Amino acid sequence: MKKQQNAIIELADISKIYYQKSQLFHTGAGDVVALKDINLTINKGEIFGLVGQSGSGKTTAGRLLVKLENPTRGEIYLKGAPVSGLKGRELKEYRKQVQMIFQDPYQSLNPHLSIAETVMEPLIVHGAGTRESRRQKVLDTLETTGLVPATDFYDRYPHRLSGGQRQRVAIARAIVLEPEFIVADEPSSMLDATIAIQLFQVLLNIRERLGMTFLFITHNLAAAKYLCDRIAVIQNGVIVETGHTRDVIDHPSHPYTKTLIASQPSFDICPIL
Amino acid sequence: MALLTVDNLTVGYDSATGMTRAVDDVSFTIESGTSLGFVGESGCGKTTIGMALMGLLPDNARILHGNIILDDQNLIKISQEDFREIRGRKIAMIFQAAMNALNPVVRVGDQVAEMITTHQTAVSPVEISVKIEELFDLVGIPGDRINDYPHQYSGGMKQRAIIAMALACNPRLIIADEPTTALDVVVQDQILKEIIKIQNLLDTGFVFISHDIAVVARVCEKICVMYDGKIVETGTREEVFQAPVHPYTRQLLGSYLTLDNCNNIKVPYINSRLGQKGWEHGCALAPLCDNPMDKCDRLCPGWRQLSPTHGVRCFKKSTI
Repeated sequence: MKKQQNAIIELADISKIYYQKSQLFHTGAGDVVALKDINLTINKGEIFGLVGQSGSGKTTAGRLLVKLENPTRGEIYLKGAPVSGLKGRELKEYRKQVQMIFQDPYQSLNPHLSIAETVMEPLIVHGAGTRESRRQKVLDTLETTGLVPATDFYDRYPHRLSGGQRQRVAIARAIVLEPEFIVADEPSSMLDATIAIQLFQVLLNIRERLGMTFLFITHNLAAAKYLCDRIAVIQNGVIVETGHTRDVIDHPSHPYTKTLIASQPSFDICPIL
Repeated sequence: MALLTVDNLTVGYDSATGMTRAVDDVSFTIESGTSLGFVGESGCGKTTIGMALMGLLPDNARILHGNIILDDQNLIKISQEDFREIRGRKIAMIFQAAMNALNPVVRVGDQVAEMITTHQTAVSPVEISVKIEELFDLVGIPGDRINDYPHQYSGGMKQRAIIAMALACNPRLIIADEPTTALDVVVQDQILKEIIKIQNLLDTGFVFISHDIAVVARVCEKICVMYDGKIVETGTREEVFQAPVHPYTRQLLGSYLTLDNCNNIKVPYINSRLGQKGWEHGCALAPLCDNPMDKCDRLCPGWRQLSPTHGVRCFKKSTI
């Protein structure tokens, strides 16, 4: 199929089970099936949304993709190459290609590192560029994320930044190596609406300019509708509906998708009861 | 006679650079059985208002000016001991982080019972257990979960338990500070329905604080929009949401994503220095305004009443 050739990331029959450890005889009771037989293909340049409630397994999927954890069953492919069993230099190369933006910008930045050190660290770890070129690369990346003028932010520490600015730094750190694929795990859920919408602009801008591919994890369908080309709705570790964002939201077929849509806040100010 | 009257409340924080005003000349009233919502972005002072009403301001905060009158009693003037009598019994608070607001080693039912025994000494154990069953029924927790520990509860159930605790002593006024912020949309929807149900059943005043305008629109009849310590627009929810006048209110509404407006969302003007302007020299919002007038940079706009309920802090007659 033509579509397959564009695939950046593929999840094939992925399951993730957290086993209950403290049992004398393993009965299977108490095991948590976080993901069950997940199949997804994310194409080049796409923003793909994974939408579900707390505990639905969407963050687990993100953690598997950046190899913070390994799947119990199934295989992940990056540009057609299987990801399981990567070690040493190959794993390092994979990490260069796949980056993550975490939910809470107050916890994901090291308070002891300046903004420059935070964003430069990936470049040093992966031995990219020279001292001078790294400095310029960091400044350029900060500008890309809307921290303008970048020199104002370069030597600051995270405690002097607002939540929205911190999240921009987290984005800068994720894109500085120019990865193929970025997992964004609820990057806006801790932010005000006015700040969140600006952050979405930054993500769209990055996609446009650098051609990166995103997995956007969220419980907010409106954010997914604004940002994503295609979405998958996940409930209790199972994908219940997937398709083009507008088709899914305008014509939901699964009852769970309908529940999510009905729960979405709006300015319908008539009291419900 | 209003249940709560707040006049010209001004709260400052001592900081290295002097006194920072977090709440600046804020006035409002609440009648019994009605609800008032405060919306605004992080740092606009809405949580400080809630803490001032509860008498729980941190040590470096001071009430510089104003009165808080609850049932003929001025809460600014009373001692900490007297305030302890009022907290819980007359004013109760639903805190933001329900996950952290419960004691992990005490059964949930016992924690609610403690709330009752602390404030009402002359109740029998039987009366308490009847009251707890009533409360859990009211907030929608099944009776067989009363003796569970908090870790056995989901996030939504913990938030319900916190609401039960706030209602335990039949307070006259409940302050809810971002009660649904940590919850996902489905659970948020359930909790909001619960709060609306309780509002309809009880004759309690509600102060509802949130950065999420859609949440406030659901639960509150009257709305105050805040920016940098001041109320910039107030009115009924119909006035504020259907006919907003202040440019800031319009920006807040215009940038809020819903399922219906994805195509005509307005991205607010980015200005990282905006927060530093303050109200001393003209309108703090002048740099954010689409179309400011000359005097906006020099004079602080006063309060202008558009209808008995609808008021705005802006020079412009109409921004439409």
